[in-house]
Amino acid sequence: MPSVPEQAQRPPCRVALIGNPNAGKTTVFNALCGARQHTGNYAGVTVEKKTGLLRGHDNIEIIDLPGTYSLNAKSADEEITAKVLAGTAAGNEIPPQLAVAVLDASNLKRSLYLTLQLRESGVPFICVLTMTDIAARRGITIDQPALSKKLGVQVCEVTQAAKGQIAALAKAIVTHPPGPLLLQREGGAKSVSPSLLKRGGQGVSSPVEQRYAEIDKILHSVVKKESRTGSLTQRIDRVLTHRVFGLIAFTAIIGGVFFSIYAGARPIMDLIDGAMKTLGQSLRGTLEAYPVTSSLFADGIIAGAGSVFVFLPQIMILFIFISVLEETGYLARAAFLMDKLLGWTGLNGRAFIPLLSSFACAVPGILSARVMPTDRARMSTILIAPLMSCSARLPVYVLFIGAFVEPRFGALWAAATLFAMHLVGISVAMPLAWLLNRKVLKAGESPFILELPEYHMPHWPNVWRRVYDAAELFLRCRLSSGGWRTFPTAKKQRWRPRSTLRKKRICRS
Amino acid sequence: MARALKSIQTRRLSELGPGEGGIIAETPKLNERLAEIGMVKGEHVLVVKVAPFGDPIILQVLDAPVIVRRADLAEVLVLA
Repeated sequence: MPSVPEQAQRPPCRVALIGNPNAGKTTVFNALCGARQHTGNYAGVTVEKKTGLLRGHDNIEIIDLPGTYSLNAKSADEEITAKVLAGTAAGNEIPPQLAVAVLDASNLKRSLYLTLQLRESGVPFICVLTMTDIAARRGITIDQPALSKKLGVQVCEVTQAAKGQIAALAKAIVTHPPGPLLLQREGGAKSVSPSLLKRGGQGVSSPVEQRYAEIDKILHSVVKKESRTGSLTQRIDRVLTHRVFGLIAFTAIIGGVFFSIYAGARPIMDLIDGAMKTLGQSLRGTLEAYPVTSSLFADGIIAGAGSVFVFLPQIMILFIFISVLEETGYLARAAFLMDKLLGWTGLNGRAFIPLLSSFACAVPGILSARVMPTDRARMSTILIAPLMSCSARLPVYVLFIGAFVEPRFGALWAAATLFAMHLVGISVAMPLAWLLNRKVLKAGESPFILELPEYHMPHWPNVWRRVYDAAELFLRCRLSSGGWRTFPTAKKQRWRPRSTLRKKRICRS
Repeated sequence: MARALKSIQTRRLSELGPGEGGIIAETPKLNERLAEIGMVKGEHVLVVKVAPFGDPIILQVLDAPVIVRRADLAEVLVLA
């Protein structure tokens, strides 16, 4: 480790969180790090990188790795997970000294597959059991000490990010002995990591079968199941994934989202707009003797910033909905309903998520296109994402609808018109997606596997985090360039290159 | 007994309707991810639901259901 002697006072310790999608990784990550986290990008790929510092331990950095079912990568996200663990990721990444495997107690068998791969890779790890409340509701009891014994590692339990449990997990991370395991990891990583990245799966008895056979042996004495039928999730799904009622509910939910954006954001927007105008006026009054300076502040900075801030309520409301829909598990149902409609274009149900995000702003939409498993599918999603009517166009719609539709037909028709305006973008995007996928990029059907998580109440700190990140990204990208456009006395030739340069740099960082 | 044995036959998972299921006859090789999420030989799968437009389908595999497209299931044979 070349970096250790340089920072002898604060030894950088990296801990990676790894787990299946929907295993509750983000909840654990947010509870461990609190607000001291940073969202960036991995070098060279459009994969979101989330890192944070462990509460009370500035020398321990936690990395929230993209969720995956296997270290045998099938998408850019999963490749990053495998590479970071092996220490082969681009951009001067130090390999983590410890991995925390997040296991969904209600789906333990599938969760353990990744854990066994992790164990084979030689990275020292501890386990966290999440969703034990859901497991208990389903009649599944897990003997934690027995699981710990069978796996040979420490197992902690974290349900709904309970404070005491998080503290215990943090303690387990801090007290995990780094010395001997680090040596073992270095030896082990060299021999395993090449096969870790390109394991074929061929052969007489496939490694997949072997691992599942071993999992059966582990679970035999660890898990007890009482059969219970008719869970709440099944009852809800009887309606929400129904071939008729499901589609009606989908239309109602998405329609409700647009109605809330239309009706909910407007008073706040008017407030911001009014405040900015008053501020500009009063500044113009005080700086009357200096026309250039007054224009710089009133037209450039304040009006410029105001034209950006005014979109913030819409972006935030949209992201509240996106993250609530994701947290509750509805987004997977929406993908299930929409897959066939998107399928003919060569996109799949997963594309629904980046496309929905693009309604807020193409920037987070493009960022979230990383959920697409192949490069080509991701590229076509990114290319059509800007065709979705982004929320910057929303004020224009709102203005015209407010002037022509609402006074004559009422609020309900106004919301319907707003929905229809967004349909225009979709109706252009879909044929274009077909053209891109079938004729230009020739992306084959990408395999589409998505787990249906149990419905549960959103974990509000996670929702807030998503909304905050989206708002921050939006403000950083827009504020750095927005102001100059409305500053008439500045020479545009001089200012443009600088502002666009800065915008690019910030958006990528 | 003889009747019970006779009724067991290999069928394509992609051709099963809602409510039908069986034991996986062979671990899928082309679509390895299917195996990795638990669709290994000897495991039970059940078609829970079919999407409004006929595809994809929800499969009960292990403890959590998954959404899969019929086309991706072409190679999977089950003993139903």
